[in-house]
Amino acid sequence: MADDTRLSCGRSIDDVWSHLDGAPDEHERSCPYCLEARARLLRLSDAAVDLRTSEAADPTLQPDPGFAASVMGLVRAEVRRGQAIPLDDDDEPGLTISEQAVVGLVWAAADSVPGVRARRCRVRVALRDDADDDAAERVFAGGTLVDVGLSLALQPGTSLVEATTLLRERVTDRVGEQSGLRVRRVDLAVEEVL
Amino acid sequence: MSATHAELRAATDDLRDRLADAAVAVDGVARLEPTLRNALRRLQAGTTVLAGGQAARSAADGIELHRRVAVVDVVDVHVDLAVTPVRPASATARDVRAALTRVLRESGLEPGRLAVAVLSVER
Repeated sequence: MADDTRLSCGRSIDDVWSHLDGAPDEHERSCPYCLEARARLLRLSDAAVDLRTSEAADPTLQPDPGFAASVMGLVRAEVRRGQAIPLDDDDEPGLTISEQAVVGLVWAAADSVPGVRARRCRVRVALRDDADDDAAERVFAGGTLVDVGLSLALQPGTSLVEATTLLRERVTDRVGEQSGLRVRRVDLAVEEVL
Repeated sequence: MSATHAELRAATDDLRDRLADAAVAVDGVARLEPTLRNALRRLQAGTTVLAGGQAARSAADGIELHRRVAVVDVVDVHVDLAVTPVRPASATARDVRAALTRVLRESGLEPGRLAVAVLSVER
């Protein structure tokens, strides 16, 4: 699970990058993480082409290979980081945690449940159920409330009820203990029995 | 007498390093985390003095600051962190903000916007 190039949908950022020149495939067309990653990578690609064109004639402007590699590492990290989730209830939040950091906690919790393999994960700030669309208001109750959506596969012979009950408990506990966020809801979708 | 550009640059570099040290010393902080924006800022040589000596901007791995020299010097700081799971990331982030505030006040500066972003939780 601890693959630091993976988007929240489970696809590697390098896969998205590898066919950026072509049309998005079937998964990418319907996946918000891949669509967002493609959009960011395309903007970066356009900027790189502009720079390369303008600097191609001057060898002194060619970047050091080590620097280029470190920048690409940072690009991979930033593309998959996702939204910034506020940690406090300030009107102007200054303390945040990345969605990807919270997804990592959810995946770690899932890894601890026998028979469960986690796949796509999404973490969103919980909004008041009674709020208007125009005045969506996030909920803070000793910590920012978040909703977690997780798809998973089960090993044959795994009890669905026991596994999902334990998984919900562990996701709630781990996210709370290690991030300070409070989990309002864990939506699970079993996609496959392996 | 107002500071020269060289003095402002040196003071801002020193302040940035002290703020970074204070952030890293907080229980639960694994390291300051470089970002792409941060790396591009660092391509500029050292600290940049802006607006005819009325402001300065500085960046190092995982930290950026913007100092506005006025009647009272106001400093905005943005810190990107990786944290360890020994305590909630929210508690670590709050303590980092408090540490930044303390260093700025001890330096006779006014804290402006202090942003602390937890980018990863180490296992």
